[in-house]
Parts: sequence; C-alpha cells; structure tokens
Amino acid sequence: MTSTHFGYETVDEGTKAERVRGVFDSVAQRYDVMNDLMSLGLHRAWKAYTLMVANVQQGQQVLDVASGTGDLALALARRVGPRGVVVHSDINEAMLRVGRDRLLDAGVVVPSMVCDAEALPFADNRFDLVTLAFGLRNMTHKDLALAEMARVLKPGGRLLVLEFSRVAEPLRRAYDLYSFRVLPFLGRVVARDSASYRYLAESIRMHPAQQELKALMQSSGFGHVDYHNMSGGVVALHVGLKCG
Amino acid sequence: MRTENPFASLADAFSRGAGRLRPPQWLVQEMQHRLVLFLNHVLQQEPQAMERLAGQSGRVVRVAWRDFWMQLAVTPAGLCELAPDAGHDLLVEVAGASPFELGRDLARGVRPAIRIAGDVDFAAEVNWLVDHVRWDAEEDLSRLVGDAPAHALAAMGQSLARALRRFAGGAAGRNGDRP
Repeated sequence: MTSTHFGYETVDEGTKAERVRGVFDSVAQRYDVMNDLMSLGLHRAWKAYTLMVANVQQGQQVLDVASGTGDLALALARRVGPRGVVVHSDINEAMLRVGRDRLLDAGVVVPSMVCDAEALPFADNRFDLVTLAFGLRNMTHKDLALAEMARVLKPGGRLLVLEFSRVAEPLRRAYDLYSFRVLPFLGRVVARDSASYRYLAESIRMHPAQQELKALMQSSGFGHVDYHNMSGGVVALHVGLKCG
Repeated sequence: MRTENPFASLADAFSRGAGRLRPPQWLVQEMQHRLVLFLNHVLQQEPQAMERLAGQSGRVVRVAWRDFWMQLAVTPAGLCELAPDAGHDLLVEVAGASPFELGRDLARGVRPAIRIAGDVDFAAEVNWLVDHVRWDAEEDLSRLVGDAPAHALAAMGQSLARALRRFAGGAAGRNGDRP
C-alpha cells in the first residue's frame, strides 16, 4: 500500500483519514477556544481577510469544504442572502455537528453535509466559489481534492485555500519554538490532548510551501493562482481561478 | 537670488542611501509578490484588460529600473505572475532616475521616460493597459466602509493628490528644475 505523512510519521494511506478523524474527534468541543488561544485571536483576522478577498455577492452558490465549526460558512451565508446557497461540509461528523449547532444558534440554516473532499457529491460547474480553511493539510490526496474542487466550480469560479504555510526566514526560529513547545503545552493544559497539537505543528511542516501549493493547484485545473501571505507567511491564502 | 535646489540634495542623499542599503532577498521577493497581487487586483477590476491580456498568455515581460528588475508572465486567465529570470518577450525599462526623482515625477503626474523593446503586439497590449487601466480605489474602499464614506474618502484623496501635484510642480518650477 502507498504511504503518506501523518505529521512526521509515515503511515499507510488507508490509515491517515482515520487518524486525522481521531484528532478532530478529540478536539471538536474545544476547537474554537484553542484556535483563539493558539493564534492569539489572529485566526479571526485571517478569516476576515479571506472573506474580503472572496467578495461574495448576493445569490451566489458557495461550497465551504472542511467547514468544521462553521466560521466561514456563517459569514458567507449572511453575504449570499436568501437567494444564495452556502453548503457547510466536512468529512468529520463531530466537527460538523458542532458547526451546525453554532449556525442554528446564530439563526442561520444551511445544508450541512458529511462529505469527502476527494469525491465531492456535486455536479460539474455547480459553484461560484469554493472555500477551504485549514483543511487541505489533513487530506491524504491533496491533488485529487483540488481537482474535485476545480470540477465543481463554474468556469471563472474561484477556490480560496486558507492554510498554514512557510514563515519568512527571520521568523523561523521563534515560530519553531512556539510550535513545538508552546502549542503542545496549550493542548495539554486546555484541551488535555498534547498529541493532537503536536500533530498540528508537524503537519504544518509537512504541508507544501506557498510556491509548491501554487504549482499543485495549477496542475489540478486552475489557470491562475495567486497567494497572499499573512502574518509573515504563518498562513497563506491561495486563490485559484478556473479558466473557461 | 538663486537658492540651492533642495530636491537635488535630497535626490543625492536618496541615491547614496540606496547604493549602501541592499534589502534582503526574501524582502525583495515579498515586495515583488505584493506588487503582482496588487496588479492582478487592478486587472480584475477591468474584465476587458483580462480579455486582452489572455491573448498574450505565456509571454513574459521584464520590467527594469536601475538595479531592480522583475519578470512577469501572462497566465491563461489574463493575469500576471512572477516569472524566473530565463528570457523575455518584452523589455520595459524605466530610465535611470533616482528614487527621489521618480517619486517626484509620479507625484506631479509626469510619466517617467521608458524604453520599450521586443514583441510589437505584446508591447501594444501593455501600452493599452498603461493608458486605460486605473485602480478603482473607491470601489475597494466601499467594500470596507460602505458607499457614502468611500466616496467622501476618495474625494479627499483626490484633493490631496492635486495639492501634492501642485506643490511638487511649484517647488520644481521655483528652483529652475525641469517642468
């Protein structure tokens, strides 16, 4: 069987999805609190910037992949209005349930679907916009998932991938210290699960850097790809345009 | 009485400073990258510009000024991306003004002297873009603060730009500099 990465571990492809599911089952209930703690609240600014770049219009059809606790889906649903649709989707049912409850508490009703990004259950050319925040890193076959997202986009549609990336050279040492010392400590104290947060730090290092991900998106069906570095490259927003 | 031109001494200081200070490579790349993002953002505000550029897909333009240069390739979407230093179809070279002179010319609304060499069709499209595409700052502001405040801010910005242009032109004229 072909192998892949689970953090720094090399594992069989068949077991990665299960182990990723284990991580997210474990952290689902404290995911939002941990996001605020780990990023010092910056994840809100990164998502706000993503929404600004998305520039969603009333009536548009949007798919939010790996939507989890629904931060983006909630904001997108308010922007597309009653004539538009936002599909809230995730492969992890525990995360999707937390997100769906949060959306309902906010008075927003959107379709929530458990689905695998590598085999999206949608017709070709269905959506104006696909968003994916902090999810691509965990996918076993990133190329397949990106090709699927290109398939379901209309010509001229855009894919927005918000993901951890390669930090700028001067920040690298401090960032490593933070990732491998502070994050697992926070995970142990707050979420009582340091292993999941060690996986987070390791999986970020194994994820393609900005240029590599851009090349991967281009080879997966996007005619043009830009990326926007944020916080010195701690995260990057890749924007892929599907040409007609 | 003829006074010393303050712009000439400032320009000298800028040139000396620029000669000594070399920004690190990662910073140069990031700045170039931000510039391309902005350029693509402006192009996406004008669909006709993207259509015209899409016809030049794959071609590379080298933009050079003093020791700085960047190469931009046209993508199938009619947008640009940074290209490696490996041949180009068109050269656009800004004449060797100091950073200060260049900034002053731009503030006065004077286009700096530019040398163009290479593919004629591609040059014609680039020239069309330079003449017709402008950043719609008011449109971007309206997404952040709403239509009415964006209009007021844009009007204020235009007034400031006009005042800066008058000041730069007037100061240069008083000191016997070129108009």
